[in-house]
Amino acid sequence: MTKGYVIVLKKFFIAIAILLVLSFIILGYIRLIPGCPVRLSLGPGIPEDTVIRLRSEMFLDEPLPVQWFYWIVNMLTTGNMGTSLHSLRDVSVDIAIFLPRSLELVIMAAIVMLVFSVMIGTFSALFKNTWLDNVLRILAYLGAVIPSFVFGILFLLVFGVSLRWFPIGGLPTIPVEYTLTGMPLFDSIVAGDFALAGNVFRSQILPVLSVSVGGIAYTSRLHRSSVIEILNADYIAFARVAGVSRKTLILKHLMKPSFIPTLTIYGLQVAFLLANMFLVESIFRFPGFAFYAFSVIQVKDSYGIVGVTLVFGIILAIVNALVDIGVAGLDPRIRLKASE
Amino acid sequence: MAEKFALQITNLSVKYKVYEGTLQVIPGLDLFVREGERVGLIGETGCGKSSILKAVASVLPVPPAIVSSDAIEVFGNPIGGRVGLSILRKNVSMVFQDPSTSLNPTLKISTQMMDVLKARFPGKRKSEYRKMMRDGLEAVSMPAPERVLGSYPIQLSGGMRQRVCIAMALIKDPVLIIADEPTTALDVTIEEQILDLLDYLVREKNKSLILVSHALGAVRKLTDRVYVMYAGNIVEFGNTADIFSNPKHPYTIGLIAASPKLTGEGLADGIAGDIISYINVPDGCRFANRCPRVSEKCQTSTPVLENLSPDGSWQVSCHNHNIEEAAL
Repeated sequence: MTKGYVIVLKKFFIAIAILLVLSFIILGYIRLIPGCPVRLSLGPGIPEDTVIRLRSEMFLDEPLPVQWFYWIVNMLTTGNMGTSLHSLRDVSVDIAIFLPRSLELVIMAAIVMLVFSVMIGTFSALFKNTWLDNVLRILAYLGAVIPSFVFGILFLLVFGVSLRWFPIGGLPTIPVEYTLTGMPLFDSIVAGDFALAGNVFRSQILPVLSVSVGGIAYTSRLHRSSVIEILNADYIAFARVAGVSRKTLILKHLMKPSFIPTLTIYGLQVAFLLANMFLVESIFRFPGFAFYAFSVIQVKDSYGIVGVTLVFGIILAIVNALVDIGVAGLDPRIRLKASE
Repeated sequence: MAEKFALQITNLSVKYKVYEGTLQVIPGLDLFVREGERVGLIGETGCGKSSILKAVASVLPVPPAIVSSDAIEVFGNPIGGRVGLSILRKNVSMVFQDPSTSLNPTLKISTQMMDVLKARFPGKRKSEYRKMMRDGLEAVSMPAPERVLGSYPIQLSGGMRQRVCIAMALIKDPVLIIADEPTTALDVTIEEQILDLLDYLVREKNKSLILVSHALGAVRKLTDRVYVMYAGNIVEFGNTADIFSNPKHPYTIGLIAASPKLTGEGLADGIAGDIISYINVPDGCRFANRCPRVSEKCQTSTPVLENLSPDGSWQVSCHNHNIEEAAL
């Protein structure tokens, strides 16, 4: 099994290299946008020498490779990711504030997506070509073609404005002393403030639902065809004749092999969740990471944008690694091959 | 003395609905297996052997298959419905053709065997199940059963996998074992071992067996009676010794003559032509287009099984079975 670790390590170093190249390209791209970032964010009333001083402090007047090099060295020695022109704090501080809020949404949406995709996919496959399958099929097509922000607006109108079941946006303020991970629901539950946790949860439900509908639609269709394929496999017939109970057959003998192809697509859909978060957070005025990303892009905040991009890159790399590990965990054929 | 039947099939019909129409694969078929009897089922690929076995084991995908019968009984119990199905699952096991696809690739052997045991003998301790599994694997002369239990199917050879399949089929102590070409996917040397094993286990534990095989030698050696199938019909059945030494139906004669000999007399002749299409089957004998003895009657009237022996244990369905070879 030692080879398995080598593969993971190799993937890790490749990911680091990709992220370094990515940061260089992003810093370069930002320079292509016309206008001075410092002027843009501080406004026209600031004296010229202040702007020049700030530009030089932030290495914005250096050539790109030098700027990039200083930024890396600074990050490695002090852990600072550069000052954000949007918040005038260090970018890492901003990330620590905004990222956990969105991460919690993504985790919740990923769980919702997993549970519903597998359930709907399995049911459609077991009741293939019946009315139930057809209804689910129509719903899945609708879910796949309607973008998540439309669902966001619909949910907002129906459940927020008309029915008033859920708040129409925002996030309750979390007291500073609760802060542990920065994830609002987790922190308020750990702090024992269940009233606040309830309110936080209510403001999270609609964003989570609207962002996960598309993924459920795609993944459930894929899982359906995967289950149908396995249902026709010899080993399912053999297990049935051998006398394995129906419940065990479906929950174990059918579920495990059929989930392997689904998992790969599911991983991609989780990555898409992050992208969909941009629109959904704007609709629900949710002060999350995508909201922060919007703000830094608007003022051409170099280090803010690089920080945001890196975080997205790291999350993607982690999701991909988890999918690879998950597939190897489910499929002994891949696991045994890798360790050969 | 009333005979006890392990399996009795009366008027089984299997159709498949496909895009081009309805395939009338099995028009209506009777078959029985006595308790402790070993029965062979022979006939070329595509004649409906697997359809019958899967219909009996209730694993034919419905749709496209349409299965109907007057009765399928296991020890006198009809297998339809919930109760019938549980009787079927308790008493009938099946060994499939290809051991590389009949074990779940994602589950350990121990898990797969355990799930069979848990359904058949519920409420035992884990160590008891473990012992039963080990005994089950030892019964199929599996070397190092503990290691096999901890393995995934991919870690085992084809012969070992088929042994595991046989062990899984036997572990629930069934009365009837259906072996659907159990050695087709294996090497010749392994084939011999698996057949000997099957023979030994069935004799020792007094099980009933249905053996489907293209290895006619194996069928001759292992079975008491044999059914010969052509295009969904039983064309001849009787005691194995009679059928092999003195076949009556022209198809049986051709089939036995077609099996290659080891004596080096050159390749066997085979039977010219193909099985008829199952769509819009014409009246008359389904073998008529390939039959050396075909007469006008064969084109218009469908032959039925007639007795060759007074007790009805040897029957053949052919209009011209009593024409002497010389008269052809």
